[in-house]
Amino acid sequence: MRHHLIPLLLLASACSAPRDHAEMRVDLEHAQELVAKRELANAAKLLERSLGPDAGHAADRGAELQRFHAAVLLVRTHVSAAFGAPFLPSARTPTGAAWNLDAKEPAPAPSPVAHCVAALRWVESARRWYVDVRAADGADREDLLPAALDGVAPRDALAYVQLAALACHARLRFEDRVEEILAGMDVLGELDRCDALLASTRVEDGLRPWIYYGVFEHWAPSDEPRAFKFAVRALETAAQARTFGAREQERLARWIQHDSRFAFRCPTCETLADPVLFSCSVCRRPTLEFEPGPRETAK
Amino acid sequence: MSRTFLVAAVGLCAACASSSPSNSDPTTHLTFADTRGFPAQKLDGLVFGAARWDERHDEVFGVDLVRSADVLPIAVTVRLRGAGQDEARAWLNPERMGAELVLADGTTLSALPARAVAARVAERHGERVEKRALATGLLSPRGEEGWLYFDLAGHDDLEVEDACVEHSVDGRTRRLLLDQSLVTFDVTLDGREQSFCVGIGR
Ligand SMILES: [Zn+2]
Repeated sequence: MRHHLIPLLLLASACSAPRDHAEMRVDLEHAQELVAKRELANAAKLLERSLGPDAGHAADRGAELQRFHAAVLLVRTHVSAAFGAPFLPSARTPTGAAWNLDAKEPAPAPSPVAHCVAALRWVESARRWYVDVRAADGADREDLLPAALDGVAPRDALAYVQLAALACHARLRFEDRVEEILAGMDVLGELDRCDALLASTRVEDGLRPWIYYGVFEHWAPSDEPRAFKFAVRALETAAQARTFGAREQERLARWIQHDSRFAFRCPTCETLADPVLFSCSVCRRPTLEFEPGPRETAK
Repeated sequence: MSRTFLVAAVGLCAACASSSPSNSDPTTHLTFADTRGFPAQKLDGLVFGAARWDERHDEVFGVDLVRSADVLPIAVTVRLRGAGQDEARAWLNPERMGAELVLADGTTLSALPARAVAARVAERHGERVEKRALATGLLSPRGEEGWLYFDLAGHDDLEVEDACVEHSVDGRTRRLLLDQSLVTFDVTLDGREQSFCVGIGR
């Protein structure tokens, strides 16, 4: 079947009529490759163009499934940009002077916030267009979706979308929105299940510290030992991804060292948790295994 | 050709639905909150902020600023709230706070100084534009609402229709609702600059 798609690939760029299944499948495949290659601006452009102005009206269940995956890919594109390689320009210049009317300011910097906002717009579309298309499961789905998307259950894709929304709202500091999302995802309350969900939904590394941070803030007022694990994981993933916020980083470090009612210590040698180390400085035991004890005995 | 695929796919449905209930699926038991847009007010630490679009802003300024001055006016409130609000020192300077309006598709508009907006309208209206602009100064627990003016000049691809901005891109129109958009700016709190963002109500 694939050889039929090659001439369609050429047609796809010239044609502005609604895409049929094969054309849309080619666009999804191409967009997926662009996202993987970090050609994010091109991916966004291709996906928006292929969705077209009438995306609200899908011709059939197959088109609905493709439309949903296109929206999910747009979410992926914008969060990859927000937490990695932004391309949408900020209106403000590097000196912060959106005000300077002399127009001699250097070019504006790209804006991660703009990408969070754009991602959340596509989150809403993906939720609206979500179809749990069991009908398209099985052999024939490959004619609707490229191989890389074919194995993705729509429900897992929707879970990814929720996690992306969580990261964006945490980044924008809309705590109420983070809470609303967490309320339906109790799986995020256990660190190992949260890790598993992030892995199975292929959440980008750049989002991870923000998701763990959001869960940390959820637990911090009520369950500090649990919150500690998410704080440590947020700091670990932040050290890898370098997309985390300075304010949030400080908040976690201060909470571990001062604000928590507990002092977290290595169960082997009693060394106190250090927010910049992810294992015990004496015996190398992982910080995640540190245990809560009374603060007043802290040295 | 694609229709045939779909018929085949639908035919398969009954067979596969019973064979794969997938209880091991980690997402089976999740419910997904349907959050929409952004809250039009927010408390972030000690800083409380709110923003709103007023479709009848012409009654405030005596002139429709979208049509006459090519700016999108947004009413903004910023004040201190919470324990420590009386001791904290927070400074707001609309000329130095890098205010931006981020539309739902990620397009950003910069804020204009009130005097620049005033210069675009008749003098009697310009006075109101300057008088009602968000004020520079120390934030207090009783900060008053003031206006920020976001520049539409140079954005010929944008068309404002009440609480919706239409953005023409590649010959297509994106309808961008203001309640899916954000106002962002910096506040200096206890000597430290921090960014703040809030949604736009009506
Ligand atoms: Zn130890």
